[in-house]
Amino acid sequence: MEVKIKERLSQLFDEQKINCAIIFEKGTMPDKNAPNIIYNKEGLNNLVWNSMNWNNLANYLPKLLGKKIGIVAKGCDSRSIVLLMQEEKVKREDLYIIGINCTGMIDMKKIAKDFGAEISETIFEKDSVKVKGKASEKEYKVKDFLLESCQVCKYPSPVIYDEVLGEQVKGFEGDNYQDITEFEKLSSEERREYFYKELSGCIRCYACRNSCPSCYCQECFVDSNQPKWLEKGQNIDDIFFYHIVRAYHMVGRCVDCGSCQNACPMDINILKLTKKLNKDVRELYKYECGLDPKNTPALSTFEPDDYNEFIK
Amino acid sequence: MKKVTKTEFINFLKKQSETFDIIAPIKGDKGIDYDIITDFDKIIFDHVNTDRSFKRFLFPQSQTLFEFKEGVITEAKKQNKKKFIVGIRNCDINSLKVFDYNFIEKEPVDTFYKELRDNTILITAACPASNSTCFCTSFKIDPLSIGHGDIGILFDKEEDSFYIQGNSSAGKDIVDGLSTKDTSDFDQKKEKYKKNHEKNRDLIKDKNLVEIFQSKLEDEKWGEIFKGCIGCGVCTFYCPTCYCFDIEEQGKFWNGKRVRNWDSCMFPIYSKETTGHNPRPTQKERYRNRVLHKFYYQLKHNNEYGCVGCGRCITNCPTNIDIRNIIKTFI
Ligand code: SF4
Ligand code: SF4
Ligand code: SF4
Ligand code: SF4
Ligand code: SF4
Repeated sequence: MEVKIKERLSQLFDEQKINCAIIFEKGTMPDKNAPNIIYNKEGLNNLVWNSMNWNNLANYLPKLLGKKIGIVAKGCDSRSIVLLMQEEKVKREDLYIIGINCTGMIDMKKIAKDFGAEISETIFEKDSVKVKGKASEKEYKVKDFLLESCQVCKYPSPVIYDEVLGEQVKGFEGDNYQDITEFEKLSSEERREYFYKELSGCIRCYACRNSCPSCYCQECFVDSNQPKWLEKGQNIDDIFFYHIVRAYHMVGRCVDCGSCQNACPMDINILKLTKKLNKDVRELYKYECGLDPKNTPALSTFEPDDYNEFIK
Repeated sequence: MKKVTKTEFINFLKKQSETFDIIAPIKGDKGIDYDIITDFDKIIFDHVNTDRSFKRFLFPQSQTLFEFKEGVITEAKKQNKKKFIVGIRNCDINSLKVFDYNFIEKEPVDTFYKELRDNTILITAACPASNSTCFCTSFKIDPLSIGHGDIGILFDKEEDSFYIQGNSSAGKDIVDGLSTKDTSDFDQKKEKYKKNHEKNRDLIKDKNLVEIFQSKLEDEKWGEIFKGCIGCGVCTFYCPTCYCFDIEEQGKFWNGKRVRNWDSCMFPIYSKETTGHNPRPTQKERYRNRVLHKFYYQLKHNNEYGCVGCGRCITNCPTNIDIRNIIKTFI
């Protein structure tokens, strides 16, 4: 896979079809890879493709507006590309999309916990990873340690691409919002308690916001002080407010890539909020975002028979 | 110096808890981190370092400076119980040089920091091992030192015993009451742990960074190294030496409080001016500022590095921006 991606991007640079590319590079640590933007084919030397590439690469597209961009896209990245096209943050003709049929990304934090010692090397095989430490080694099946979003990913194969690599993979066929259905059964006090506990660890670093391709506002509401929408401190209600508003800004715009949650240094489960809204959008508007660029996003359109129970 | 058994040491901490809040590393859901101790058997001594540094206990992420109600200003409530922080690693204790210089030594004195600093006893501990992301030796920090803070300890896991030494006069007073075993094997013990620190790399090797960076302020490499950086606050909030804050008024009209919160030079609003102009318009300038503040500005003005080599920004960055690579790129 790696060799093929390199080959293709290198040709595209030669043919001047692209003048930059968004790729993954081998990280400086055995449990991380590094998303990067490169401007020539020498930059391809460190390119890597394995199950640690969880960052959503479409995140870098709005900043590169106007350039000819090569992008390596998993299923979720491709859905974000569709969304960004709909929202005019990127033009299809500026993109060359190398789609990757994605076999899912691995939760290295979980593995590190299980492994118990410092990881000094990771060797990826087709569907497993060998983790080595100073005194021990252990093999993990990728499918047993998938990230939360990847466990229930419906669209692992790119929905838009110029060419696609890897064998076709089947998406998750069950109900991907089953956990939300369960969560909805709790009383409002229990749900509130859950979020207060979960979010009490939040340090407001905004890695979740900055890791999300749908969060591209020039000035985020949390950064604005004229007017000031919320206070900046560690008061739990302000933290909660930030997360709720961020989630609301995602209505009909979240592709379930999990990039927000995976970026969180405090391991906070923030997918609960966006998944709940995705579920609502699916049920109320029969809409899933990031699938077809010709569609209009759920909240950008109006039909007289739209769900409108809330306007009374 | 004294030598005590683990049980004796725990009892010593329990006794201190009558006067102090004891803060020490324990295992949480996420990893090992400082917390206020209620169960003394849960304290962990043999880890490499904690997830976060102890900075938040001396420089809280949100700190109320004063309150106001209908035109009347009242001082913020003080926490009256003193703190006793146990197990501080050598990188982290060195970060206080940066804080003390900026908040105490330079006028005006930051009384909020000083108050917490003066009411906290700091117990440093020799690091039992280094992770591959540790590079404190670059800054002439000895990971096995027990000479910093009010009290220094070395925990020997094999024997389940502690070597303990008072450094400041307050520390000496506290340690004084302890009985002791023979401590003549201390150097031998220290030597034994040395081999666990082979991974700790000196990246600077006495090079003069002020001179090096002086000529590289506009180097084109700045345009390359930051590229995956998404501009979150992870590196700065995790960093034990990052001390920037922002002040805001919370509340409505004349009822509320003035609070200071951690700020991050990686956020666009950090350098945005009232006119709307931003002298650091992109992540390139912001990232450059973070690096230069650590390895150039502070070195030039105060002759101290703004980094202690703890490696937290490396392990927690969601895009694997590695400050060690940045150093290597330029020197
Ligand atoms: S969400 Fe789906 S496409 Fe995205 S990384 Fe996970 S499995 Fe792959
Ligand atoms: S909110 Fe999270 S899951 Fe949804 S698109 Fe953004 S990063 Fe992906
Ligand atoms: S990434 Fe995590 S800690 Fe940071 S703001 Fe988001 S939820 Fe909070
Ligand atoms: S270097 Fe990493 S942690 Fe720091 S702002 Fe950039 S992405 Fe966030
Ligand atoms: S810059 Fe990074 S390695 Fe240096 S002290 Fe801060 S967090 Fe630690």
